[in-house]
Order: sequence, then C-alpha cells, then structure tokens
Amino acid sequence: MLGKILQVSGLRKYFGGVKAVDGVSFTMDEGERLFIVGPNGAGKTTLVNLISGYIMPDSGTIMFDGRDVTRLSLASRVGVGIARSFQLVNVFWGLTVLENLSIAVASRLKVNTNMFKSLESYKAVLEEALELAELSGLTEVLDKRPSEISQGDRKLLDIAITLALKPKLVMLDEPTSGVSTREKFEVMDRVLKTLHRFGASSIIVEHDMEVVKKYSNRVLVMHEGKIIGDGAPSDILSKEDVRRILLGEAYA
Amino acid sequence: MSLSLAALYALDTLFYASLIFLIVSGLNIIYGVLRIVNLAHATLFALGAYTAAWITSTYIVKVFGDSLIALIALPLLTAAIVTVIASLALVMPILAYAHGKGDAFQLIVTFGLLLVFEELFQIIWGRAPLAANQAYFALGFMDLIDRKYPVYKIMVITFTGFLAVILWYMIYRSRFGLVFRAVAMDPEMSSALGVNIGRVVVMAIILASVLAGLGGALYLPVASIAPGVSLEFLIIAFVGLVIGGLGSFAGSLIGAFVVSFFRTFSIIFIPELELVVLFAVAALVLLVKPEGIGGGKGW
Repeated sequence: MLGKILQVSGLRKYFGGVKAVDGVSFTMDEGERLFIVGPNGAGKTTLVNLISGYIMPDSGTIMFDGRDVTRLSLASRVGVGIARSFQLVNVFWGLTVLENLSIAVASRLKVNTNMFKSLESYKAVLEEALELAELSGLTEVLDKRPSEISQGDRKLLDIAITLALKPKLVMLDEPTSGVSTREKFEVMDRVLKTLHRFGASSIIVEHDMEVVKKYSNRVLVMHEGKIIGDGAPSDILSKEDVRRILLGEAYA
Repeated sequence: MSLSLAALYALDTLFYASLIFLIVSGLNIIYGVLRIVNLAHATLFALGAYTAAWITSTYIVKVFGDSLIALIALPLLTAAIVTVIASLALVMPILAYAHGKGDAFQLIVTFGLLLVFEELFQIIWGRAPLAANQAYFALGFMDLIDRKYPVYKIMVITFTGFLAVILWYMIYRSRFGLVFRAVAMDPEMSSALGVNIGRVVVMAIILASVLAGLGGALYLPVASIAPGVSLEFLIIAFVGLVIGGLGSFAGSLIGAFVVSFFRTFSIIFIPELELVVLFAVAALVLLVKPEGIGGGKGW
C-alpha cells in the first residue's frame, strides 16, 4: 500500500497585498503525478517555491514523507528528497552533457575528488550517468556542450540533473516552455519515462493544455491563489467556470 | 640576428614562460574557485626560492655532496612542502576572510599579505641575496650551434612542460577536475547539487601553491633570491594574467608565453623599457580583446 508522500494544508503566502497562495490544501500519494494549471499570476510558481523551500509560507504546514518540512531550508529539503527544475534551463554551460550528469551523480554519492584518478575510473558514477543519459535520450549528444544541443535535449538534461539527486518528489516548472511545438511531446515522453524509472512522484506546472490532457490523470486548477478544481482532467477541464478561467477573455 | 642567437632567445623565452606559467596558472586556479585575484600568490614563488636556497646550502651540499639527483630533486620537494604549509596556514585564512568582499578590498588585503610575507622573508633570511647555483653548473652546458646553452634551463622547460600536461589532466580528466570546473563555472548550482565547495577550494589552493613553490625552486639556480622578487614576479604574472585572460588553462599558457616573448625581446633590444613594453602589450590586448587572448571561455 502506498502512503501519502505530500500533505499540504492551509498554505498561505502574501506578497504585500497580493494573495499569491491563499489557503491551499491538497495531498499526493506516493508515485502520483500531479499537474498544476491556471492563468498567469494564479500562484502556481509560488506554490512550487513554497514546497521546495525557496520561500517560507506565512502560515500552513507541509508534510513530506511523514515529517513536517514547513520550516526546513532549501538544502535540507534537497536532503530529504525534494528537488525541482526551473522554467529557465539550469545546467553547467561549460561542461559536456556527460560531465553535467556525472557531477550531479558524483555529488549525490559523496565520492572522493582525487586529482590523480581519471574520470573514467569513476565506474559507479559513470554507469549511473550513462543510464540517465539513455533514459533521457541523450546518448547521442554525450560529448556535446549544452549550447550545441537542441532546446528539448537541454531541457531533458536539466531534468536529468535534477533526477540524478534521486529525489522522492520532483517539481518541474513548465518543462515544455521554450521547447518547440514539434519537440514538446517527445520531451514529455522522455521526461515521464525517466520519472517513472526512478519511481519519483512529480508535480508539474504546465500551461500547455494539449500536454496536460495527454499526460495527466490528476489536475489541480489554481486561480487567484486558491485551488478551484482538483480531479481527473476529463472532468475538471470540461467544467464551464474552469474553462473560462483558463482560456480567459478570449473564451468570453 | 644570427641563427644561434635566435635559438638562444627562443629557448630563453620558453624558460621564462615556464616560470611565469607556474605562477599564472595558480592565480587562475584560485580565481576560478574563489573569484579572488590573489596578489600574494607571487610570494609563494619567492618562498619556494628561499626554501631551495636554504635547504641546498645548509643540508644538501653537506649531506649529499655533489649528488646531482639530490641537488635537483630535494630543493623541489622541500619547496613544495614548505609552500603548501605556509599557504594553508597563512594565505588560506586571509582568502577565506576576503571571499565575497569586493574586488578593491581583496586587492588591498592580498597586497598587504604580500608585504607581510616580504617582511617575514627578511626576518628569516636577511636582506642579502641568497643563491645556490650548484645544480645549474652541475648539469653543464650544451652546444647551440656556435654558442653554449645551460642544460639546466632545458631541464626546467621540459619539467614544466611535463607539469603542464599533469595539470591539464587534473583539470580536464580527473575526478577532482570535474568538480573543480563545476565550482569554477557555477558555485551556486554546484552547492545546490551538494558539492563540498570547501574541500574543492582547499585542494585548489594546495595545487596552486605547489606550482608556485616548484616555480621558485626551479628559478633559484639561475639567479638569486632577494627582497623584492615577489613584487617583480607579481607584476609580470599579473600582465600575463591580463594578456592570457582570467580563468582558463589555455589563458595561463598563452599569457605566460606572450609575456615571456615580449620580455625577452625587450631585454635584448630595449632593456630600459622592459616594463613599458609589457604594459603596452597588455594595454593593446585590453583594447582589442578585453577578456584576454584565451579568456572568457572558462575552465
């Protein structure tokens, strides 16, 4: 039986008079994949920032894997298994794809930094880095630098680095932003395959409804800091008020 | 210019470039992990030279006589060890204190450290120049067409070339190198991934100190060490840093070579304008390519 990986209750964060997150509560099962949608300014990114520890809430609690992490620092949350990637790609631009993956694996394994031993002798690290590359479909570009690969591959590299930390919960902020329409489904396929292989639960902020419909089985709709819908995409996304909020003026 | 003279200048350029490289690469390594231009770094070169002079004249000659291996290897070994100890004990705390406090503060603090070191050298070893050129003469001279050239300088060029290859391996192919380059590129992201930055910094400081200490010990047999040598080499290494560009292996090599080339050239033709020529070249590079010839690309 799977337990609850995440329990958020009464989470609140105001920026001055702006109610960015205004009393949000939800729970997630282990291994579950949750999509968060909503118009700009709905509080999606703030919610992700609160859960990952980039900002602290005004009130409310966050329980992760059975413990209260509400006041834990960003670094401590990485330690307990919460990791995230950003809207903007975050990679080492001067390192090759393989080196990018290796450094992430190496730092998790807390391996030595011997000056005389070659990288090739780093068996455990290299094997895991290569496995990550294969799962993310980056095998062809191992020796290239991030500036020399496609936007989709770059995004996958970013996410693979996050996954190299072996988190229990991964948060992805708009994984297909900046990726061409042609590439977005392929990127999502590879991201979800890797997430599944690592058995990580995931929260994915997404604005692209095509992606949401295709890949989600649970959607959380946010509007003005509150959750206004939570359930299967076929039920939630067809509701009249949700459609109006998501599509905005163009729909009205 | 005769052919033999040209060959002599070419070899002297390489010899001098070797010494400069051993200082500039260390400056670059420390800048990589701490973003500090450590002006006190050249004192480690001087410390290496002082140590070599002291150990050669007080022990090696008495214990090992004129054994060539002892004359060459022991000063290098001692200089490396003494330099690393001094660096960890005296330089590292100052660098840690100056870290993140702004360029002006860092330049003043590290220059102050250079002056402190210079005073310490004078207290320990006095003001008179120290020399120990046994290794230089023991290796003898070789024919260079119609001239003679010291074998010792050839040895220094070869040895430094060897060191440069090892350094390249450590930075681009070793386990340490991967973490070092990641920290140099993006310390914030490295620490977010859980890299132990403190350890990488200590290892980088040790590496830079060994290079500078070896440089000083290699330099000693062809000259002498006296107060002011730190400053002389600091200025030249600094020009090399500007010309080659901050924060890269290639930049260290290029900077050392270009500085040495123009210095050798000006010493032959216009010795009174040696520094003027160097600064003019540095100014020209800054005008045309402000990030330096090999810089801007990172490690």
